[in-house]
Amino acid sequence: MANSQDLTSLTVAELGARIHSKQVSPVEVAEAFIARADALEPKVGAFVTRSTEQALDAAKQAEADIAAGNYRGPMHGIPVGVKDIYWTEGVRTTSGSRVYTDFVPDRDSAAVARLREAGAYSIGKTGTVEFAFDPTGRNAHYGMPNNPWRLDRMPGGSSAGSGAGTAAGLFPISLGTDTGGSIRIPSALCGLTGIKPTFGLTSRFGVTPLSWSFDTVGPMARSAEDAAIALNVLAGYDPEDPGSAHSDKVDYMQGLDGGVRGLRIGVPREYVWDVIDPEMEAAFRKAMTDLEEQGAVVEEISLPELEWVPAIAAAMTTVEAATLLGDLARTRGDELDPLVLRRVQSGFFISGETYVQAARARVLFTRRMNAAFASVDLIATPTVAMPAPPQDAERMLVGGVDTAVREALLRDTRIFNVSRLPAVAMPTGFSSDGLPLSMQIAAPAFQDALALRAAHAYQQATDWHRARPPI
Amino acid sequence: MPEISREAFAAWADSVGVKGDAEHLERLRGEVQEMMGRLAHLDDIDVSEVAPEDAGLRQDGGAAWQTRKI
Repeated sequence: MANSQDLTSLTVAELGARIHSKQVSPVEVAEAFIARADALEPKVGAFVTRSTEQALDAAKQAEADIAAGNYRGPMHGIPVGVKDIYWTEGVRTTSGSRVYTDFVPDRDSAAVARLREAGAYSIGKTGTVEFAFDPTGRNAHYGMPNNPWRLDRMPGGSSAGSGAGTAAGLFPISLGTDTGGSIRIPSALCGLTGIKPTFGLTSRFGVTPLSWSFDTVGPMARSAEDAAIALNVLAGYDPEDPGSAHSDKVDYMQGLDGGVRGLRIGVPREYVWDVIDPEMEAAFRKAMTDLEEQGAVVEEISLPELEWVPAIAAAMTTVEAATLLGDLARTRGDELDPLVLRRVQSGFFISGETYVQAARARVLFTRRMNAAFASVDLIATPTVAMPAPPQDAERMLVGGVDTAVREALLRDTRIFNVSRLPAVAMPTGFSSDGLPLSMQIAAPAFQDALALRAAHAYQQATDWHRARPPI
Repeated sequence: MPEISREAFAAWADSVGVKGDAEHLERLRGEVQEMMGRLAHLDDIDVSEVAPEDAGLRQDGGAAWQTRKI
């Protein structure tokens, strides 16, 4: 049997293979991650609520099921960090808010239910920005998780605890949600691989909503292979989510080894480079060269409509958040984080005409993005403009441009929320400060498998995703 | 985007039901001012090829109203 340190550094694919071959038992896996969390949680602060007893019970059940010949697949016996806006039956779900400190759902969210069905289990609820409404990871009520690569840096958000905890090895994979980048931003800042699936591919039932036009459910993992394993479990139509799509059943593992030979990767000429850290850009350019060496064709494409993204995203997200959270802001505003309260209230000032203009512009933007895919198979950009900022940073010089940290984190990820396309964030190296760098690769709608295939190909040629923080 | 004066903002906030102390309203004013500047770019986009009724979700119903159960 491997020692517990070894187990907690493995990917889901590696752990699953050892569980399947009975080299290691699910209980040993659970105990290893629980012990690591006992040791490191005081430094990382990834959890809002730990579920140690329930996790051990679930691991024992998995062990019994597997011993009885009922192996369910590579997620069987795998502990998962669950962002604290997913309902978990019998375990409180705060949504990062003091208002819901004692809210205990009576059923699981669809994603958690699907993971349980696959034999996985929650090892605890992970920290989120209140109502997932900020990309930094800050939370006035439960604290900001620390970035395992440098504890004084922000982990990114809003899926902050999922990012910090997966990177620190407190669990091998986690659930995040992505409205403007909340899976990919913490994945980028913490050195992980995270996919925002195509809008509608994964069910949002039982996830506290922020913006019905953009909210998306997905995994945050240590490799593209692990993200594919999780997406196999999470993807599928759900009548309980009005945004759910009737998509074809896809095996995201099949074709993962297909490589990138002959694939055309478009790199936008505009927008992305206006605010970019030089080391982030250099790592991205090197990644494109790496993919070219594997046979991809990288070409510049023109997408001037990218300039529309901040306005469309701001109008729609803010109005929808004000619609969903407005009553709370009016009646219990004094219990909300003042930053989140102001953001919700901002939506009261946007006219209906402006919202509809943004919604029409969103459709037009999506058509332009779809048209771009007529000449390329994939689109790649850096995931974020700069590596993890100091925790208290509000503004920074990024590539010589004075920028609000929040906007610098969101500007590139939101492209694929607004267009509702799948995008995979993955590490591309480290800054001179030892902080992870990242790129994202996007594909046409419902071609999530193609984006994962390109990410996997990149990770077969590089080792950045294998690095673990020195914590 | 012209600056929103304190007085104009106070009246606007009152009309949409926003309450708060002076510090809160002042910070909110700054954020709304910044947001309105960003949203002004929407007016430059010719959206005539997209009918308003084509701008929503595919399915009827639209939102995920899960918070109502909380």
